[in-house]
Amino acid sequence: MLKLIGLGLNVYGITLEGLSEARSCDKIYVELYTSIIPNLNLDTLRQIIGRDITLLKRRDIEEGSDYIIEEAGRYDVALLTPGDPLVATTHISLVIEARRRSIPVKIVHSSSIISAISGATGLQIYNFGRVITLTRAAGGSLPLSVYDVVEDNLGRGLHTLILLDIDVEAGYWMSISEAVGILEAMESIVGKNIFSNDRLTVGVARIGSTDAVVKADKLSKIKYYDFGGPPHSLVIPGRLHFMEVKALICLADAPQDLLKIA
Amino acid sequence: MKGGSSPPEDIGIIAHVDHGKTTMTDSLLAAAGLLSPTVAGKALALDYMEEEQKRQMTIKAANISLYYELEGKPYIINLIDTPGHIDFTGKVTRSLRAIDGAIVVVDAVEGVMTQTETVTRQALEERVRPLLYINKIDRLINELKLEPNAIQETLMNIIKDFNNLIEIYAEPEFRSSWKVNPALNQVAFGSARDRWGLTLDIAMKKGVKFSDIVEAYRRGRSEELARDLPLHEAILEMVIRHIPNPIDAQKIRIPKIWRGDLDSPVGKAMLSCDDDGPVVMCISNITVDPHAGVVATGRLFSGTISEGSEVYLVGARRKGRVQQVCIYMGPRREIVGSLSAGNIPALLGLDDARAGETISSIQDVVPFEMVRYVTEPVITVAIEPKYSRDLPKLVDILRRLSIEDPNLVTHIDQESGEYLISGLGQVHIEIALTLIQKAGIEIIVSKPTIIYRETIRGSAGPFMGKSPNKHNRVFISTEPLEPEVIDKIMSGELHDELDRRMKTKILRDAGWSAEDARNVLAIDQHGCILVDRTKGVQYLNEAIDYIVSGFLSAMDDGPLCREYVRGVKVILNHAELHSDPAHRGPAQIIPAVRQAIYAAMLSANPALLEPIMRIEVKTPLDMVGNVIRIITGKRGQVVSLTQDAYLARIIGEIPAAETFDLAEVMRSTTSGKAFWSLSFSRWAPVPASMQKAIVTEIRTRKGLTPEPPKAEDFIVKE
Ligand SMILES: Nc1nc2c(ncn2[C@@H]2O[C@H](COP(=O)(O)OP(=O)(O)OP(=O)(O)O)[C@@H](O)[C@H]2O)c(=O)[nH]1
Ligand SMILES: [Mg+2]
Repeated sequence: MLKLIGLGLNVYGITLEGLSEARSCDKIYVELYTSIIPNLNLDTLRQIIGRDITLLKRRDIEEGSDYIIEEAGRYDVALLTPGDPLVATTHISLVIEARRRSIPVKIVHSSSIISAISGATGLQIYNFGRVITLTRAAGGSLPLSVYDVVEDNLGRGLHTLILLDIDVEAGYWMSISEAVGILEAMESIVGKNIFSNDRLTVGVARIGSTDAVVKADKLSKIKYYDFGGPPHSLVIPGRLHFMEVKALICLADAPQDLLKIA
Repeated sequence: MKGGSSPPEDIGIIAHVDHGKTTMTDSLLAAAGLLSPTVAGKALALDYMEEEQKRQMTIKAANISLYYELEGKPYIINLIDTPGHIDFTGKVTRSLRAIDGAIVVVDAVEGVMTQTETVTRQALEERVRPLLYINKIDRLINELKLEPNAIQETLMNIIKDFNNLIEIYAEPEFRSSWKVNPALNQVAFGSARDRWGLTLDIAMKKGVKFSDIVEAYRRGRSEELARDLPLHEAILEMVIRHIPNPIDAQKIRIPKIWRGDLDSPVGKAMLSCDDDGPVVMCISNITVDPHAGVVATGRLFSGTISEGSEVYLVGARRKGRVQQVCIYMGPRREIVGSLSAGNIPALLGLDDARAGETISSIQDVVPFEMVRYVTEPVITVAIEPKYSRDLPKLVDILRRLSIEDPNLVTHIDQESGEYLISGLGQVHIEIALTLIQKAGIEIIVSKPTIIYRETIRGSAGPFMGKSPNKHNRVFISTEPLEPEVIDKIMSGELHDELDRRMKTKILRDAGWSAEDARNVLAIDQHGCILVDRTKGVQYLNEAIDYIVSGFLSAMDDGPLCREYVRGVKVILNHAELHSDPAHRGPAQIIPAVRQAIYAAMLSANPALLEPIMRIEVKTPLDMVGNVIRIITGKRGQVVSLTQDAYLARIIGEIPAAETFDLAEVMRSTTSGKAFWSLSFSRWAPVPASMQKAIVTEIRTRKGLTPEPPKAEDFIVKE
């Protein structure tokens, strides 16, 4: 059996079910490349679970998935992943391949930025549009699809959650200030006032951890705010419900004048 | 130096190897007071590199400025002596950009040879006027013992052959006006070794006939000839009368070598060689001085360049500041502070400059036409330093060598960690290795190996390529590229930086559909093209760069044995991409594209191409049979055989792989009597019976599994 078990958003984010399922497996793998969980490393994870755990790199899963699935055909294999195992990852390919070979699959969910963002900001999940990742500008060309997605969401009054690129294996994570720089560069090219200086923006860092930071301000100011360590994300709010306005003031320290304009 | 009223003349000396270019320039140097007349003719002063003197062969282009007073008038001649050996022909090609006229030196005994033809053709392509100097007349007298009549006939034949080159290669408007006529002093005759020379005018003025010259030699009085008929007078007279000065030359040359608007202010400034115009210069040569750094030499077509000038390197899209303006005086540089249009400045301080670069005071000036080379690297050696502490030094000198000589390709094999040097021939490589050793680095050198190319003989696909995360798919097919299109890429006419309209036009003319011609995504320099046939694929624009990277990397690493790919048209038929950029990055798309290309190529009857060399042999008649046996014994064939009373000229083709011991075999089989040269001719499929063995050998050498992959290894179903 193949068990995909979510590690949630912090060191203790694995659920009780996840913990017992992992412990009952013959072999436990973990991947830590799809997201960053603050303060979590292989050793702490081994201590929490009380078992030996093998760390997989991106290549091990993408190119060596056959091997893992074959193992799962012979005994119980757990793959631990940050967040909720099938949200904002591409692991569905493992699930499909296992099922195709009639290997049972069990998924143990945990929390993810996608759901936690609502609690952190008070922005209601019903009002979000498409989620998108802002990646590094590769080879000098900007990933303008981010602009299109935000423009599209705003046009329908919807909020946009922008995940920021990480490359754990290369030791890279995108900070909010770097991200805002890229968004501003896009604005200067496209010029449709999507990422204007006054755009209401919510920056969030380390959601789900005790030292999480949530701050709403103009785009131009968010850039200079100190959010601390990774992971970082951004929300560009769309049309706000009055409860959302209250929440942003209360949870995200949003300047009141800004919300009147918005 | 455009001293007062008389502008400089910019000339080059070009010829087949050993026909006497450098010996002839000795006389010009002596007449300008730069060399003692007693050593001229044997000093080979412009062969100032130690390696050149040792080999008696020019291996770099040497620049020098000469000042003369003739009949009370001052003249400045900027002269470039070029190498004749085929392995250095790239240096001739680049030098031609800087000059307006060329003296083509022809050995009276050997006549017009392959390289004579190549360099004359290239001069004509640059609209550089070629004039003829027939050298080594002494050999006709001393060695061949010809009578005056026979001498005259030999010379006439050479002039006829030379004019035939003009007939074939000159553009129509110059075809008749640029033919040379001895009666108009467009041909000089002489002996550079013995330092005499004449044109018909000089002969008439001084009342000399061929019989007098023959007589002088018979009586052992050739030094009288040097006294009465100094070689430099004949050459200078020809240059001054028939080589246009920069003002006239640029009117003719600029429309050919520069594609910009001739009616624009820059265009007009260049057409009139205007000292007060914007700075526009084309770099023809780079040397890296251990102390001064990069020295960029080239032709200034407009404006005045001075110390401290701020200029743009148009191709590199950089800005730079000129630290020094110099002229080359052979091995030395002399600081001159500033130079005006029509000169050949050597600039210090522009570290990013490379041969071919356009330098200008205007940021967005249209760059000069690319220099087109006639040949490709075919031989490679792997080297490593004997002591690993020398590694940084080695990296440094390899970089320097490849900057100075763009035809020498250096490459680090990421997998084996080897340093590879590829060159046009064995001499090219040998000299590079000597220069490395001279720099004090002891190196271990592998046996030379041949460079191959991979291609396909059929069409196949579309095949699917899947990204490692399985969330992206590309569908790619491959077809052989038309030979005509490959030629256009290799000649530099069709390249990636060309604007889209030009690319479309060239490909339409080659018979491509309008759709394909318009949708070229990338052109690989070794002769492959990537075409986009997709319709409305979402997010494609954000994945294009990665698709192109995947294509280029697959073309660098053919599926059979990781040699470069040549002559393949890669077609992107369709793609399905993940909606989030995080899951369709380069790490996902590049492998998907490579996989699909390999699946398609391996299904399309893949083949290995080997370089075929053209061999030209001059040999006494009694050795003809031996030479032919050598050629045919090396998987070669004889293309033509011509002979006169003394010598036979054999042209043939031999695979480069068979040429490593050619020098030895030729020497022993012909008792050293045959003179021969090799040059790259074309790529041809290796014989089917040999392909498997060669692939295995290359793969083993590269540390790969001996067996090449099969299409199935790359084919995925869904
Ligand atoms: N007999 C005779 N030999 C000459 C004459 N001119 C040059 N040579 C000899 O020909 C050989 C080649 O002369 P170079 O001046 O080095 O020829 P080159 O064309 O500069 O040679 P590369 O630059 O290597 O192509 C030397 O041995 C010269 O001494 C000549 O007029 N008569
Ligand atoms: Mg020479």
